[in-house]
Amino acid sequence: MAVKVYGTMRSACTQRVMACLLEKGVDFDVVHVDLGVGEQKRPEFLVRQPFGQVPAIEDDGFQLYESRAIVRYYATKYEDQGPNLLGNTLEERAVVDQWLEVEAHNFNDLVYTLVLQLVVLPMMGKPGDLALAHTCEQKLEKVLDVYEQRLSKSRYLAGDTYTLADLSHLPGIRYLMNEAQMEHLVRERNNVNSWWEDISSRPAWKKLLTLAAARF
Amino acid sequence: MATPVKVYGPAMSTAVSRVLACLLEKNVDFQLVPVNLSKGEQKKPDFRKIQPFSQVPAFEDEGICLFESRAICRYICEKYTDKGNKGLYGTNPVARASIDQWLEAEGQSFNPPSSVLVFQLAFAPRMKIKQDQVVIKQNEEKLSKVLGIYEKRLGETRFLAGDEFSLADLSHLPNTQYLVTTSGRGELFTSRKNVGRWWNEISSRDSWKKVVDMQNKGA
Repeated sequence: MAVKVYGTMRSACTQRVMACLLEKGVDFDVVHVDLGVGEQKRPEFLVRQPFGQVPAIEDDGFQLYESRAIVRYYATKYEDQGPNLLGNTLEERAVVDQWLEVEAHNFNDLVYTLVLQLVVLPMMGKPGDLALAHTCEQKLEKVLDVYEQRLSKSRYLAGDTYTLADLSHLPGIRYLMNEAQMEHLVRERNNVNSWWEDISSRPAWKKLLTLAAARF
Repeated sequence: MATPVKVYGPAMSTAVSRVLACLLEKNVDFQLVPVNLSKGEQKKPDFRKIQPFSQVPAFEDEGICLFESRAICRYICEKYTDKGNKGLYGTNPVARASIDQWLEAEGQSFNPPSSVLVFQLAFAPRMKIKQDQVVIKQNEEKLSKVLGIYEKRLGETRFLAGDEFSLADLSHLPNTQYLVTTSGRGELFTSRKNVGRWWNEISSRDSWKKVVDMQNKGA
């Protein structure tokens, strides 16, 4: 029975889950939640995800939300299927977790705010706060400088293999480079650029973009 | 023999105290290494070698250096599975998934508004920084919505992830401690029946009392 992913193909957090399931070869169906009409705030959905956010999953009766909890769960459940997204030893897994937390707390908020101000609000006919967007951009430059240093020492964030830590960045960076027109943040940094080229050409990510394009 | 486990940072830092609470729950001996934030020690090259984002805590154990408090907590639980509170990070994948879900909810929904309020209400006055009332009001509203969701959840289960105290509850201790005791906005928690009950329970744990003690002693 396929995993049901409640969300939308446009949502970065839904994409995070889809990318993981595609990497692990786990069958899933996206059950579309219409954010435009506020479906995620309706009582029927709040029962599934009380914060009124996407994604949430349902897997043969088992329910879970928060994309980073979902990817941890599936990367562990299917550890022996597809690429190992977690690391082999306790120490390696801890470093993967560390960089997943960096994405969640040092990277994500800045990207989210930038995209909100530069892309989402204007799309809704509202003015974006350009000063705030610029502040986020400057902070992101500093964060990516740390990534640049890190990626001079290892091929991927947590070491020499692709893990959840790298995967978790795919949706946000794609938004940054495309709709937010912040390509320079990546291109101006050799190691970050090579890393991005590598992770964004993975077949699972390309498949996700094809699936999403069919729905965009 | 000195313990190899080291935590870098002051106990009064919310993220540092999250790690201390976990170490104490797991009965793991550790050494707390001071980092003088007011003198900008965290921005110096030596510190940036162990935490390149200039944040606290940083952490060391035999064969590993780590940062990010929630990653450190998960590592401690995995490394010292048989010590102290054995169920802190769940004893099976489904229990663990629920704990991760609420740890993420803490990190993504609870932490942002509560951190702002902790800074504005507890730290800004002592640092002689002017408080921003607009920011305070916005974040009180956000936190209120989140606590409304917690109130419902904690009417269904004793703790956030289920009926046992877990990392998910522990992760809330640092910010809530400041908000309930120092900020003058404690009623956000105490006026809600289930949240109030939950707060009393988790903050009375011996491990948390020891952390508060360390904070009061200026560790």
